[in-house]
Amino acid sequence: MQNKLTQSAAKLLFAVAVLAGCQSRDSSFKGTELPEREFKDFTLTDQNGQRFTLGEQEGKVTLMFFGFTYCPDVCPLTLSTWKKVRESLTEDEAQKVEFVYITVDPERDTPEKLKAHLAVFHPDFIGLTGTQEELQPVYAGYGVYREKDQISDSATGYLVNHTASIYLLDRNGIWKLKHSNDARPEDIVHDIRLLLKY
Amino acid sequence: MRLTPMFRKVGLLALLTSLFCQIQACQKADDTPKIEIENIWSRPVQIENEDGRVMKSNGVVYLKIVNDGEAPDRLMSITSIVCDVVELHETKMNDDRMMMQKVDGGLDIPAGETVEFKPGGYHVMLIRLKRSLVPGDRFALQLVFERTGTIKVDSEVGQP
Repeated sequence: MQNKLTQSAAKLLFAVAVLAGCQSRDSSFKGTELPEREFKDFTLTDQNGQRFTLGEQEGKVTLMFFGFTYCPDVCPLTLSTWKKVRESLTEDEAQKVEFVYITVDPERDTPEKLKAHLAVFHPDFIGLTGTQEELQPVYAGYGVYREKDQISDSATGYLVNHTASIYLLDRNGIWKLKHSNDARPEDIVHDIRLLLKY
Repeated sequence: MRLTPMFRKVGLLALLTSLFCQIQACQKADDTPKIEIENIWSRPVQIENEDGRVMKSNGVVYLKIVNDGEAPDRLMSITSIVCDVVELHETKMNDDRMMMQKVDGGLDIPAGETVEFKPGGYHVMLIRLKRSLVPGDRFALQLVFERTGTIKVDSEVGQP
C-alpha cells in the first residue's frame, strides 16, 4: 500500500515538473527584457488632431516606435512588420493592443502628414506628434536617441538619426521589452500574447 | 603546283598574325563589366492629404546589381520622372541607433559580384514624389554606370 502511494506521488511530481518545464519554455519572451522602470505618462497629438494620453489607454498592450515619415527605409520596414503583426492577431486580441508611432521629426511630421503616411499600412496605427517642448521629455524620459543630421549636399535638407527599436509596453503602460526594427513578426506576436496574459 | 619557300613563309606569317588578332579580340571582349539589374521593387506611399493636397513625401527602391563581367563598373547616378531628385543612401546601425548616409561619388560594382540594395542597407531614395505609389504600380528608373552607360528599368510597387 505504502509502495503504491509513493509511486503515485512520484508520478504526480514528475507530471508537475514536466508541465512546469513546458510552461517556462512558452513564457519566455522573444524580445529583450528592459530594466524595471516606473510608469511615465505623456500627452501628444495624434494624426486626427486629437490628444492622446498614454495613461488613458484602458489596459492595452502598446507597441511603440520612434521614426519619421521622411525616412524611406527602416521606418517603413517597421510599419510593414507592424502590419503583419496586426494581421496575425485575432480581432479580440487586436482590441487590446495599440500601435503607436511617435515622430522624431515634428517640424515636418504634422498630423496630416502622419495620417497619409500611416494610412498605407493600417487604419489602426496611431501617429503622434507635438511641439518640441512636448516631445523632448518623452525622448529623454524613455532614453530615446534622436539627432538631427544636416546634409548640405542632399535634397532632403536634413535627416534624423534615432533609436530604431520596437518597444512593447505592458497593460499598465510600463516598458517591458524591445525588439530590433527587423524583428520577425511572429516573435512580436508571441510577446504580445504573453503580455496580454498579465 | 608546289609552293615556293617564300610563299610558304608569307602564308605562315599571315596565319600567325590572324591568330594573334583573334586572341587579342577575345581578351578585349572579356575585359568589360556585364551589368544586369534584378529584383527591383518599391514600397507604396500616399502623398496627398484628405483634401488632395500634395505633401512632400519620399519613396524607396530596392534592387540587385549583378556584374557578371571581368571588369568592375561604378554606379554614378539614378534618375526617375516619378520624383524631383534621386539619391543613393545607406542605412547604418550602431547597436539600436539608426543613421542614414548619402552615398557620394558613385558606388563600386566589382567584377563578378552582386551589390544588393535592401532594407537596412543601401537604398535608392526617391525625394519629393510627384505622385502616390500604389501596390501594382510601375515606374521607370534610369541607372547611369561609368562604363556600361545608362540602363533603363521598371520598379514595381509591392504591398505595404
